[in-house]
Amino acid sequence: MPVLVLDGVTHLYNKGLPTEKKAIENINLSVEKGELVGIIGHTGSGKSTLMQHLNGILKPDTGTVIVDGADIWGNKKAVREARFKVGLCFQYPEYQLFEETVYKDIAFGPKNMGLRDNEVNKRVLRAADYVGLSRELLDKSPFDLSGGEKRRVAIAGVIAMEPKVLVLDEPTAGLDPRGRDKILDMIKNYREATESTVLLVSHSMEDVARVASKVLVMNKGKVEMFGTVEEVYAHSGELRKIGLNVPQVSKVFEILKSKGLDLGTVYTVDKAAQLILERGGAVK
Amino acid sequence: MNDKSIIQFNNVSFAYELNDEEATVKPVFNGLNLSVPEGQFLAVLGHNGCGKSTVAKLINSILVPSDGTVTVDGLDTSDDSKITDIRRTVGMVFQNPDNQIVATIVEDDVAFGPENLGVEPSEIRKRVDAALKAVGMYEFRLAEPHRLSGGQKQRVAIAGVLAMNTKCIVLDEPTAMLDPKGRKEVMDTITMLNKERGITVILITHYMDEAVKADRVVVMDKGSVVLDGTPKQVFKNVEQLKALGLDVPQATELAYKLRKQGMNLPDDILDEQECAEAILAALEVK
Amino acid sequence: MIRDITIGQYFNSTSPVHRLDARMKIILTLIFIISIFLCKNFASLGLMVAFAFFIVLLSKVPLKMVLKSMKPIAIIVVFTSLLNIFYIRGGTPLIDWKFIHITSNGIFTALFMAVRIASLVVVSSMLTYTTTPTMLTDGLEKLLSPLKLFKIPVATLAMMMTLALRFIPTLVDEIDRITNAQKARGANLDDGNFIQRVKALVPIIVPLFISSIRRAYELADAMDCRCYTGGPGRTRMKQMKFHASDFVSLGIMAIFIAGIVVLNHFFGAVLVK
Repeated sequence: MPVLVLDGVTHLYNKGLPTEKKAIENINLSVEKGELVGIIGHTGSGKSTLMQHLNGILKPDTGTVIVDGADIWGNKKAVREARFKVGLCFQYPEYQLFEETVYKDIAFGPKNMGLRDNEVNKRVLRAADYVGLSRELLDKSPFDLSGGEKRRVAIAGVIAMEPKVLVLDEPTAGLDPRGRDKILDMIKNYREATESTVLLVSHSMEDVARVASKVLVMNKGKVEMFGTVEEVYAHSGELRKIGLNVPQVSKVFEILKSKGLDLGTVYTVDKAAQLILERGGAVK
Repeated sequence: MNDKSIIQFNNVSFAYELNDEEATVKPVFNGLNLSVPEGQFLAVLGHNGCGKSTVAKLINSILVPSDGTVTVDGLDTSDDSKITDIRRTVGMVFQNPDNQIVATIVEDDVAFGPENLGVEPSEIRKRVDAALKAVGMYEFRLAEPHRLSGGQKQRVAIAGVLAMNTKCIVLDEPTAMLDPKGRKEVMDTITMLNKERGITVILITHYMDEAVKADRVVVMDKGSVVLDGTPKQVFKNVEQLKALGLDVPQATELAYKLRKQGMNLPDDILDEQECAEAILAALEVK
Repeated sequence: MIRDITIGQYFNSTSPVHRLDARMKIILTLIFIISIFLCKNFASLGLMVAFAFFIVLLSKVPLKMVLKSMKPIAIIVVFTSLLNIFYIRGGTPLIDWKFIHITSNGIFTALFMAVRIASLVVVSSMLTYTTTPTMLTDGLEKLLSPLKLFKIPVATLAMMMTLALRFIPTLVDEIDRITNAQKARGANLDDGNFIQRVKALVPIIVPLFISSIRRAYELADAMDCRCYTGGPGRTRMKQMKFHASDFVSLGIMAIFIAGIVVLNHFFGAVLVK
């Protein structure tokens, strides 16, 4: 059974005004449990609006959002439950930290859920483990940490609610390659360990290619493509037409194809090297 | 490009004083030497905390070295009486586009620098219009900055530097907070300023795809320069860069992997076109 | 709610009102505000409203936008009007039923108050609609410059005002972002008693405060780099010059004030002592 279903979701900005605009239009989407979906699209494509519908921060003007079998706008209680079932981590989440210690900050979400202290404690420690924060850091002030560490604390704060669906908006924005790799590895490990569903919003097709099992492409408020990474990245021409940057290796393979050497679709360097070497072997 | 260097780091040491109990100091550099010729497009590449942002602040006299000297166009940055001259020679663009725009109208913001320098009003008007045209923001001159995209805001910030008639622009991770479209806008703008107007550009970044566009790349780690050369010379050190926590272009990495498996490819591939052609050539020879 | 506040918003146009010198506009606005309280009867009040309407038409600012600026104060107007209706005594009694006493003076005062507050808001928002914040602060700086004699740092105060205006929209966006992020962690901002609600604001105020300090430091560096010293020697791109139209507008204002005085004299006061 899918864990997240969007059925005909439309959201209008400036409703009723002459400037009314459809931020997202008729979104139909179904995400299975355990999937890691990369959501790509340029600024203004409706990614952020879509994201804020998943946990009821925004209410659709038409259509329904069903999380774990329940319509999140079905009744008042359901909206609040949706906040905890779908953990939303916004861009630059380190700017939401506010507690005196890392521990307390991670505990903020679980406490709001009304959990007992020992359960909160367990969840904070588990979340800290997933994001790779050592125990000594938990008693420190979050403001004494490095940028990358702060970001991991903020993500842990969402993970600690143990949501069925974790949604991360640009979790690697502004990080250097090492910080980015740490976060991507962490997301991968988290999903494997918890078997929960993860949605990763990103500008980087390279990042998405590295971790996602499926890709959702948004354009002008609509779903442009939704499929496995292979299926979506095979349409590199269309992706470029809507202003997305395909990975450089994919471009290398496009050029090879235009010169008569068709080796298929590729989006990671390892796969590219493997295909070329196989071809080289065959020529030999 | 000529041989005269506009920025010169001579044996520069710098340490931050930490406000903890022991009042310890955290050294950033020890004896850094760096010289930037006029008209060069230099990229300073390194991971966070390698000291590259400190380089920017030392150039602009926001910080002064604890030992050694930094000179800008022959002026010593530790000489307080020269600060205005230094800052009108080297302009600075920061990472966060919101935190460097001071006025509520785009053109008023661009005018801020020349106004501070006491330039004649009619001359400021000319400079502001020219600067906004140069970065392609003239049609937005009456817009309110908070309604612009990140890329547009950074271009306004660049115009603000141009209006001071600076010879050199230092950009401290100007694209870190931008989307791909904004990044391209900013990169196109600074490349144009360098190539067409001969402005010296020092781009501090951790994105290798931006560093590839420079004339020269300096890779920093733990406060010292570990690699220095053209992009082709620098990026061929795939193993070393990866160990430093940096990326190389995928085309370079692919070529490197294939070469390790015995394919005959050049070791200085940067872009997809070179890479594809080299692969075709190598496959046909076999 | 916070987004409804339109004071400080500029409406871009090239109307005669926009072209007036900012200093003159500040002076004219002050005179107009005084004239609002000079009106003693419906004739002069009518003239004042008509003149305010004339300025709005002349400025080419859409009437809808002007009305929008009244939205946040609508409650205050209604509330003070009701107070006036029920509490002001004197004049002809209109209703005298149990504890409700309404008199003609009460009705008139309420009406006057409502019209006055509304005109006050319209006229002061006209100033900000037709003057860029930069011109406005420059104008204030010039008008207040005699205060420099008393060692009051007028230029620095004007710079602070510009920066405040510049950062209001940025901070409003930031509050939105932080609020959404804390809501996503289950922060409950809408329920509970007063103390609970105040406590619930901590997760929003602390990050806002921290990021504002960070912004202030970065802004200070950026301003240093652009050679801002706060001292003398600063010039301005946009020079302030009085034109003929400024003096004409002053003349029109004088005629308007004269009209109010004359109407006050001929028709007498509407309130009965």
